[in-house]
Amino acid sequence: MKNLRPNISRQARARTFLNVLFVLWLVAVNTLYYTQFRDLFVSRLAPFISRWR
Amino acid sequence: MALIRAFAHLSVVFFLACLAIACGTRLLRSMSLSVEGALEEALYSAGLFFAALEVVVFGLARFGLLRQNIVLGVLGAAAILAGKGWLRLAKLARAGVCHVRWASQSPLTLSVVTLVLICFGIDALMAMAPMTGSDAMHYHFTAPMLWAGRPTEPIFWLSYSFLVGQAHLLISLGMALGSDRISLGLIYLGGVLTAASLFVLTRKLVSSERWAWVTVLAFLLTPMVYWQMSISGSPDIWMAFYTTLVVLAAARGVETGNRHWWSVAGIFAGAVAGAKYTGWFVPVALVACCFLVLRSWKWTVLCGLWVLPTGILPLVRNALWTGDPFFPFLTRWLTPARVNTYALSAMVANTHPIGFDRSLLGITAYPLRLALEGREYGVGHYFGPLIIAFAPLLLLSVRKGFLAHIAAGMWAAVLLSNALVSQEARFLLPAFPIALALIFCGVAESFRRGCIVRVGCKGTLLLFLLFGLASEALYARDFIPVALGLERQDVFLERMAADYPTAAFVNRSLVGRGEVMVFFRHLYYLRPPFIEGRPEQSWLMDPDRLADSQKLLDFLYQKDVRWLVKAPDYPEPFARSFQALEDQGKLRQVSSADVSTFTGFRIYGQRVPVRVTILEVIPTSY
Repeated sequence: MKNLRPNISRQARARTFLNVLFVLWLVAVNTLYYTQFRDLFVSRLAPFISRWR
Repeated sequence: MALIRAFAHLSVVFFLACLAIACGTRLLRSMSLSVEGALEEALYSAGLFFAALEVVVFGLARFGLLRQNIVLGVLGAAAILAGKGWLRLAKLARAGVCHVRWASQSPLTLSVVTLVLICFGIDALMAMAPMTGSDAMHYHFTAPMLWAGRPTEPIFWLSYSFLVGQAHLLISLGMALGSDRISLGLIYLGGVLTAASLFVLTRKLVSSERWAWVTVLAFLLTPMVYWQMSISGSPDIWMAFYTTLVVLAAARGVETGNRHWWSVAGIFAGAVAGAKYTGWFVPVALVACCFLVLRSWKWTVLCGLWVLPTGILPLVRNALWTGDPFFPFLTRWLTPARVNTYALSAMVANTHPIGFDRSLLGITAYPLRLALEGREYGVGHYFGPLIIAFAPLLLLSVRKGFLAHIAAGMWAAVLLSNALVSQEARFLLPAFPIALALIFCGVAESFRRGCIVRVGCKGTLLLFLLFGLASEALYARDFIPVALGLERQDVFLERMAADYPTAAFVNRSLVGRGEVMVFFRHLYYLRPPFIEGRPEQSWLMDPDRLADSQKLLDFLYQKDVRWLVKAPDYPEPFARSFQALEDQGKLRQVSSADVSTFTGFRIYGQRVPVRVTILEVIPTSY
């Protein structure tokens, strides 16, 4: 039982680490993906942007 | 009036869909096959009917019999043959009502279903706008227009016409029925059927109707999808429908133990292959899978043979015309004497990105690059970020039985072949629904694995749905007014169709005999008889063979070219020869005009002024 407990906690830590890693991956992919559309949004929304300014 | 016309065209498409389901059901029964699920059966039926219809239309077009009265006769005969198959429509309608009633029990699902229906409506309206797709105005619609009502023959001055496949016959069918809007409507129908097959696939993988609706919504809000199924004028979306059916039919073959389903999967795989050269990887993957699963040469060969009727006709046609079934990509080996090196290089360059890299590193990085550097890899970013973002979750989805295995195998085969052959992401559309279904299967599984993952997935999904809604709304606002009759068609075309102002000027200016040689890409709206003169698109304009001005002039006489349209310059390899002809008085300026056209991708909306000049080729007697 004593040996099992550190094992479980190690597994839980590993799972949390993987989950955090996955979320960081999501943040990175989303950031890089939507950045690509900057030029397009600027060109499509130019009239609105200039009006807003 | 425009709205009534749009409604009438969509009604024709709706009737064809009903006919496909009714008649296809009879075809399915004749193979002693049936399915419990009404929607799944309707999809197999529609798939079989349209695959068979394409074969019939191919034969009619080949002999110049693709005329309205003959087409109506064929469809009438199919309607009679459908017999009791029509009764299946009532069953399908009841199943549809059940789905919506079930969805209305949960506000979240109901809102998703509502959004799905709104997307279908917007896409249908966009499909009813006049055709303005760039590739479509170049060849998807131009080649069927040139072949309409006459026997199909090779068009060497339009090299891309050899890429016209079985799915393009739905475009020809629409034109034969009286309008290119019916053709666009049939492409839209391909999108609707793909969405329905994705619904069935996801529901089977995830065992949740709500997830199936969310997947369909994500699919419809993907820029590549709403572009392809509404205004692109390219029939590639039908490949996505048939590829999904291949996976479903093969899995059904394993589930039921009825091996005839592998033959049905073969027919669907043939329909994918018949649409585009790159589609041949789907039947290859299917046949390999069939052998691995059944371990029977007999059934593997049978599965492979069923691919041929629906897939091989465009290859036979090209082989008869040129000696190269995959013209022009194998010509340098099969008939080297006929190679136009300049045009071939241009076509290869056009179907490969600048950063094409077949090394192990290049292939490994390709899936990431196509999503995150999409502009350089065949507009891969139009597929959205979900596949690449949720890719790690695939490990959770591929555990889910044979359906997930074959779906993953098919996706891997298409992705790998694409990475090895072209690295043009837009050619991945056939496998996109499968990829999306698998990814959402993984997302659904991940929701059981901790709060932080759930929040991350929900955030990513919500962000994409908002992005999809906003981008589709922005995109649609250019096309909806003309479909509703709020904008005149010619004003819309001047605004949205590349090279239309040039074509309109040519149409206004030229009358009389002789062909017009033009040096611009978008040919569909030209009315005088024309040929394309850009050497990168015309197999006839070979800079090696037409090396000097006299040879060029002889070629113009031989092709009965009486007019040239320069907009604004001559193509670079011939610029000096054409200029020499002008200086010698063999070409005489007749009229000119200043128009504007798009530069780069139309979506950026940047226009440049262009000076269009029409020149007359002085006849030899002068």
